[in-house]
Amino acid sequence: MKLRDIAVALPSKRIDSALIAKWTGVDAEFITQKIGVKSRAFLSEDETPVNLAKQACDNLFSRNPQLARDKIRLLIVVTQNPDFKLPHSSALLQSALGLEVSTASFDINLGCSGYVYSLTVAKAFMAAEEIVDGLVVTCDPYSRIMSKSDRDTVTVFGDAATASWLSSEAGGEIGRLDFGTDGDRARHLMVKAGGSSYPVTGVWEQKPTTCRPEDFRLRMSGQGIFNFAMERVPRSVLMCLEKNKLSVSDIDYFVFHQGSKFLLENLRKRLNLASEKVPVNLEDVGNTVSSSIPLLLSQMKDQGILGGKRILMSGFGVGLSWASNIIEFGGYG
Amino acid sequence: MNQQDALKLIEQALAKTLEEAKNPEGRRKEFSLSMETDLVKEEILDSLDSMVFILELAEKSGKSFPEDDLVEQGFFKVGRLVEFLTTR
Repeated sequence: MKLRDIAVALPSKRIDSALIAKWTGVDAEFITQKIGVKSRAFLSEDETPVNLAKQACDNLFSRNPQLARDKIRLLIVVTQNPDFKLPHSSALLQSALGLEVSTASFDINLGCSGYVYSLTVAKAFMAAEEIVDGLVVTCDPYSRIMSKSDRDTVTVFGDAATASWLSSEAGGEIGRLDFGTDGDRARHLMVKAGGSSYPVTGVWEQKPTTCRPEDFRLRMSGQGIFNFAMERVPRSVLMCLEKNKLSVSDIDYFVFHQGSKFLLENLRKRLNLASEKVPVNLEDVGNTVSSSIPLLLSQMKDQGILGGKRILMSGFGVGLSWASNIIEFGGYG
Repeated sequence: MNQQDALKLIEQALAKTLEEAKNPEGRRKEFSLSMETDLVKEEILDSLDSMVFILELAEKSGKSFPEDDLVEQGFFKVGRLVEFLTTR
């Protein structure tokens, strides 16, 4: 199964780091220089994740007239911030895009590792069901779960959607996955309320009273995430190379989840990689969760630098979880 | 580990962290340590470099530091770090 093309959509509302500095009290230079984000886009009040995901898909169809909507049999949406708690966003997107009712549509509930996982899920599903064309869509707008005064999160994240065309016929060949989960550290990236442990409502009325407004917001422990990334990601990169019978020198680009400039720089040093092999695109988009890897790949593809190249991608975050894989672009970069 | 060894480890971890975190002109932040020094409050380390420092110290000492609320727990005060390194 192959990755044939990627399209993106960004929300219309742009927020620069000067405003973020005003909201949080964090120095704007620190946000731009160390976190690496000058501006990012947030969904406006009247935009929804499915609207944005639809835009990304429409952009994909415009770029690829040969991709027929009625031939798509698989639609995966990677998100933890769907339009509604239920139904799943992929059902709404199937309708919005006018895809056939014979399309398998489901969401994958993962954060920053979600894109890498979902490519393998799509690959297996499409192979098992002999599907020719499928879509993997990412859209996880953290602007909907952050407090504007929370310096740990609002300085880092931005919203985006991406749509990837997977095809059995042509495109970048997807390799073997390295993956894992460190659930002991789950608390480090968490929205506590809204699930069944801390529900908004229910037949028992005691629990809702325990929820505070801040429990519905994203809480992130920087040290926990940093330690996790430094421990797990380099190992996953090496395991992925081993599984695919490759070495570091066989890789043209290491496309990491764009957590922050600081995190990427520390990962690069740990793995002893040249900076030109580790592309970074945070400046105008921020950390876009599961969209960060496909967004970067899309930009690289549009720059014409993926043709004939072999990339290793690695996503890591909520769970805490990680996944790394290889894509051989051949002539499809 | 005694107090002197702990201080030496802290100095080494701090020097390495600050070496990595040189400013764009290549200058390193200067620092002098006492048991009362608070590395974050005195802006020797910013919030990001402090994470590198703790990881560095954990790897050098072989000790597992807590991953939550290190600032609130006073972990960036040299005296608190020395206590942690020498008593656990």
